[in-house]
Amino acid sequence: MSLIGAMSVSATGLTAHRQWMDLIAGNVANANSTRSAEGGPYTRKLAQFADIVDAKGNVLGVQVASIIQDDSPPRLVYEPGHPDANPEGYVAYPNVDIMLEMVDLIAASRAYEANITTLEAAKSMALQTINMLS
Amino acid sequence: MPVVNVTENDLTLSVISKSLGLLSARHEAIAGNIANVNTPGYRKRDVDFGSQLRRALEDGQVTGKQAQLSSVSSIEPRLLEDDDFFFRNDFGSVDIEVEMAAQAKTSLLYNTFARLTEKRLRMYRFVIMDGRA
Repeated sequence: MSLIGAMSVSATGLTAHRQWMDLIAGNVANANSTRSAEGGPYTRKLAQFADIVDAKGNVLGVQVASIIQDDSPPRLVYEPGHPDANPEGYVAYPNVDIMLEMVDLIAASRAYEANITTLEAAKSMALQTINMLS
Repeated sequence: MPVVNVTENDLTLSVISKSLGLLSARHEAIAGNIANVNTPGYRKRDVDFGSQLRRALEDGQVTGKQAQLSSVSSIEPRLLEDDDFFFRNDFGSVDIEVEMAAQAKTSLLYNTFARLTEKRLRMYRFVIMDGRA
């Protein structure tokens, strides 16, 4: 039944945008991390969205196809006393711009809300149908 | 005694139930668009609701009610793909406001048709109960 299908489509939208919000939270939390597991400062992570389509062209939802790294250069700050400073006295800070992350966060949470609204609508439509039984 | 299926010949009921099917398919397409609002290069989808139904009813007006019934029941949800309009710089074509409005419209129409089905079936019950329901 396509109303139930619509609900699972909205669920994939919720999952994908929640994953994006997780990445944003990680970026903000690590905005000042000068060390990472890969070495060097933390690099900003971005979600790449892709649609899920069946053979007939019906949309089954959305997914985070891959998590990509922002390859823009790190922010260099002159701090000679810092343990991670290079010989010239500059510390490489992550390429995370807090303002940019906030804008992304708003976009992600708006999209999340839109998916919630759609899910609620599908639910109330299905309930209407069930009420026909009484 | 032959079994007569009353609902089989009820044009109103068949139009209503077909509408419910088309609207739920349309709602699914809109849900897909909203889920993909941030997907670069996504092409928005829609399911045609009014025009197929109108054509089926108009065609049948010439040939009679049986033709209308069969052409209404043969309608299948048709997926329309938008492929020439970019709404966003990342080549996505989902306009979230338009989709939310379409979604609200679809669910209102669905609720209307669901209520109409209920009323129609109540009319049958009224007749079956000999006007005492």
